[in-house]
Amino acid sequence: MSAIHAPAGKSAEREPSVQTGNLLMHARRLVLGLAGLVVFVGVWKLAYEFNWAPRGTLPDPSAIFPALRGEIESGRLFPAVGSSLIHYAWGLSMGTVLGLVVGLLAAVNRVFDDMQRLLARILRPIPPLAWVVFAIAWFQVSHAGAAFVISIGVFWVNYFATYSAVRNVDPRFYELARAFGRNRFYDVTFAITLPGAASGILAGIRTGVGQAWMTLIAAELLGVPGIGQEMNAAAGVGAYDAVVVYMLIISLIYGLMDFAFSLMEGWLLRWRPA
Amino acid sequence: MSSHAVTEQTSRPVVLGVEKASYRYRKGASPVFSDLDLSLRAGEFVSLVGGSGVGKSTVLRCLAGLLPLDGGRLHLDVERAEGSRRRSVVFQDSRLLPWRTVGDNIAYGIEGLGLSKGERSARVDEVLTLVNMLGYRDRWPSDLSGGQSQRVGIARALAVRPKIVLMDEPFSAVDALTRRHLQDELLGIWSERELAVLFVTHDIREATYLSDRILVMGGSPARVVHDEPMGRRSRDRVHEDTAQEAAADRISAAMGGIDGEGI
Repeated sequence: MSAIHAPAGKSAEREPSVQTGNLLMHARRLVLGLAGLVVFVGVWKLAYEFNWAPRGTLPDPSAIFPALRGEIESGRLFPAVGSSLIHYAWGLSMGTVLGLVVGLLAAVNRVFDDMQRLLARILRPIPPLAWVVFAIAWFQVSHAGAAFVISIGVFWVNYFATYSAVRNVDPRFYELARAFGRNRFYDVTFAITLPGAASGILAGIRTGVGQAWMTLIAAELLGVPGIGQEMNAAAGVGAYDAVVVYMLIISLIYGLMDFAFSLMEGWLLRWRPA
Repeated sequence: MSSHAVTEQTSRPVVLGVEKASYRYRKGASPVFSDLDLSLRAGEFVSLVGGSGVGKSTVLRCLAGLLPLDGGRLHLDVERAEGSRRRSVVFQDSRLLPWRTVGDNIAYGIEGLGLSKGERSARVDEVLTLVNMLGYRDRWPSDLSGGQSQRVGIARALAVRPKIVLMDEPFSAVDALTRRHLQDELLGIWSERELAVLFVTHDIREATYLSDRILVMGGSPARVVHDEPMGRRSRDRVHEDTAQEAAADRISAAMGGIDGEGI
């Protein structure tokens, strides 16, 4: 018998009118998005011209590109970005890996879960920046100290995301694993638990990617070399245009990372129905 | 069908069964079933019918080794050949892993059997061909219809080359036409592969259409209250209709007589 019939095609076979509609919607969004940007810069320019902020603290929007060139030429920008990326990469990966492992263990092992629950409740409300004191005491003003502070915030995000994602894996898949004799711990973990929890875990990692930037800048404001320190230094000499340059650099790097992550996430979860 | 065929069948060895079996969900709860006897012979197609909630699926899970019996004995008496499992299960929901392609879902069942990659791939193709789904090997489960998913579920169960297949209402969620196609395909596969099948269903028509023997479960705690031999099926369906009708009536009576649930 031939029961084979292709299911409704995906985007490639969509009706032309739907495609045109999508295109129009994207174009509209782009135009309105740019318009919003222009309005924002316009208000900023007005604020600058009419001194809405205390004199000298608000840079001229048109001074930002020259300031960017200045930061590059003075040799400050790239070392600062490089240094920040080191803190970022270490803090993010340590926090992510630990959060994932602890969250996973807590979700699958009842004894460990009961042991960690109260502890988590006590430690969780402490803001990552409160650990700066210890970071300085233990690691002095160093890359390791900044990475440590960053990893704390990232840890909690990933820990909670992983814990609840693993808890929500459909128990019927575990029964399937048993039915086919695939019930060893590592086998179940890699074949069922992690893929089953993947969308929740990835959402946590993605939140962590953003969270790490927030704490990164704050951690560096305390003196570890990097973007945060450069911002602090620039503000100290009244170079608010340079501060804005660094703010935009942060936004750019975060945007690129989030975009790259969303591509990876889309690929990993490509099995999900569109 | 002939009496000769029936005798030939009962002389085959029992491959899976339970004796005086009982099961309860937790200590102190009243048993789902108790004093339950059931046996499945080599190459035999047995359906287990009964009202909803009577515990058919629980019996199947105990036979599959997914739930431990509370009392009584389970015996599983088949050789495990190299690269195979003795029994496998087809679930009511097809239970495909959504993050694996159709081919990889089938491979999941055989990954632990010590086969080489090439052997696994050949097996996947073989069983996909058997269920007419070869063209779907690289698709995601979310692309499949209910009937197609269930075909893949059956293929996954067959890939481990079992002697016994336990099926838990596998066709209950597909439309009537697809269901009939799947039933015929299943019968073809069953006779070709000489499987022993235990088929749980609440549909008496389905049971009489497919089975050598039909067991009716009823009562609380449940047990097997009726055992209806259907004889070896000939391929001449029309000829069998009257016999099937009569059997269906007896099964309905057995079900109605126990829990007052006529179907």
